[in-house]
Amino acid sequence: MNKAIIIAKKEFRDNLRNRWIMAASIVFAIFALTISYFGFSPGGTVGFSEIEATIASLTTLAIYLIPLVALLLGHASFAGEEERGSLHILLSLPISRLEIVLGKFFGLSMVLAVSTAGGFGIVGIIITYIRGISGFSAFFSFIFTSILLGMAFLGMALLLSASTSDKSKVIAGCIVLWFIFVMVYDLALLGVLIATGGGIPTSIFNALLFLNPTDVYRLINLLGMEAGREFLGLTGIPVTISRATAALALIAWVAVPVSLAYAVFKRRDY
Amino acid sequence: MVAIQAKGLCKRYGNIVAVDNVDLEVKEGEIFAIVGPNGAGKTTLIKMILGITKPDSGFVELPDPARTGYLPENPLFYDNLTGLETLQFYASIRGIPKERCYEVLSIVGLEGVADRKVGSYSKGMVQRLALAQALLPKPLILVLDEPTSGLDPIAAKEFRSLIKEMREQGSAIIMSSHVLSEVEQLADRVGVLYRGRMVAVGDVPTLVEKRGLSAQLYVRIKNPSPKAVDTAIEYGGISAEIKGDLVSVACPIKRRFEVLRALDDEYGVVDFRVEEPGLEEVFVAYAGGKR
Ligand SMILES: Nc1ncnc2c1ncn2[C@@H]1O[C@H](COP(=O)(O)OP(=O)(O)OP(=O)(O)O)[C@@H](O)[C@H]1O
Ligand SMILES: [Mg+2]
Repeated sequence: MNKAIIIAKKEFRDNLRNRWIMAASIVFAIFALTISYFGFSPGGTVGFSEIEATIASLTTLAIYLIPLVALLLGHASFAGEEERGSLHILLSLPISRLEIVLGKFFGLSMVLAVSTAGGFGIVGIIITYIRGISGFSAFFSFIFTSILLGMAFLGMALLLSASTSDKSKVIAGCIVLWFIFVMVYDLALLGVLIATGGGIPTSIFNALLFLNPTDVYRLINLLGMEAGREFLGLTGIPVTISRATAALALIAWVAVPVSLAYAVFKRRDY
Repeated sequence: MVAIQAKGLCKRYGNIVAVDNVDLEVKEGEIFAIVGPNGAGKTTLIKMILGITKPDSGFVELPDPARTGYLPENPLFYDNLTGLETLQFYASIRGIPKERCYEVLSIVGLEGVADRKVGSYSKGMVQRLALAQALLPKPLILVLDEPTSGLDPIAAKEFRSLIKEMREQGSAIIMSSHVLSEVEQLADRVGVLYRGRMVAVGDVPTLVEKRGLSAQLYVRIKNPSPKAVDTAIEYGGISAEIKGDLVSVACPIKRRFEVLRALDDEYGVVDFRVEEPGLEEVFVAYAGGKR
């Protein structure tokens, strides 16, 4: 298994030096700072507000940006390396395909973690400084689940990348994934709600929320927050999911795509 | 001792038969070269030998990856890593000490740019790095897919002496190449791959003879006569002509001396030159048809 660590280290080092990833992280930090400063503030005043409110606004930002960064990080993992021929070298070495997949997944996850913690951490530090340590654990869990959200999309990117040799197809697939999960899915859900006059059973509605990792992520961070409910975007529906269940669902979203990626990669012929 | 063995290898992609029932055997201390037109199946065959691609049928006794070096076709590495970091990455996967990275860097002449990012390397520098990578495990088996593509003439020459040295040390080397002169200099045996089939295997002189390829003889004679053409034909020439004092004869390679002696006896040879058929002629004979 320490060969997986070698792969992970290489991926980490390689991608930290990737200009696109660096740029995305910086944009991330700037957005996070701006939103926290001007964003949701109950009194209508400008400035760094309460931790809950800040998390609520940052969640929306994270849902747009983190999947994008994750897909950017993961899309070239197999198809790109195949094009370059470096994958063929890797496959000729004494290392298993499982080690290759795990190494890539966790190495890239580390990059995500650094980029997320960097982007949001600055806000966290400022808020802790201004508002005291009280909201620290909520903010910590926000950063942690943000990384998990990224890992879910990273797994999907690896799955796409292992499924075809054509990197442009992988890129197209990533864009489609992003559009579906970040843009289309909730709108479609809303459409269904309107069409049925709010008549779908709560259990089905809740189940549908589980099928989108960004919804699961939103639930974890906004449930149990007074201010958060409005941000759920689908007000009026009784959400009966507990945070613990949502957390399990997010973990499943991390584990399943990367496992599928391994299953596909193991059978692929290069 | 046989180092690499494959039997009945087949591989198709959709309707395309990339490799069709190929047998292969490479011994320790032998250089085996695969030649063939673009798309003949060389790369596919090589990838099957390494277990990267699974054959549809047939089997390979897969070489031990720990002591096998592989240089893929048109390799590219990770742009953001330096040459040294790239080698260290492969070395650590193989469990090879770091010092070996410096050794192979100097073997391929990249010490000077070891700390530069590979993204800034020229094509030939990347090719050298790929060779360095293949040499890391002090390979007993070396598999090279177009190893000199992109190398300058000096580097190509250094490559040839390196490969010969490894053969002396007992490594089994299998390579594909489009540079037939290089193959002629290096290879102990050559396999011609054509439309996925191994249409000829052997050393170059044997293949030339098997195919009955003719040598071209140019002889300048002291007493020119149109009859010299008949003499040349009589002593084994396939076709002949004379222009001024120069007789040109195509003849089987084994009979070139007979023809020359007959011409000398009757007309007196002043000067001569022989063009022997080589791998290029073998290649055209076996694989010159349409793809
Ligand atoms: N992954 C693949 N999918 C579909 N067809 C393939 C694939 N790999 C190879 N082929 C086909 O198999 C045949 C053999 O290809 P291969 O790359 O082995 O040829 P080659 O002899 O190495 O050619 P070159 O001299 O151009 O490198 C070609 O017709 C090629 O199009
Ligand atoms: Mg090839």
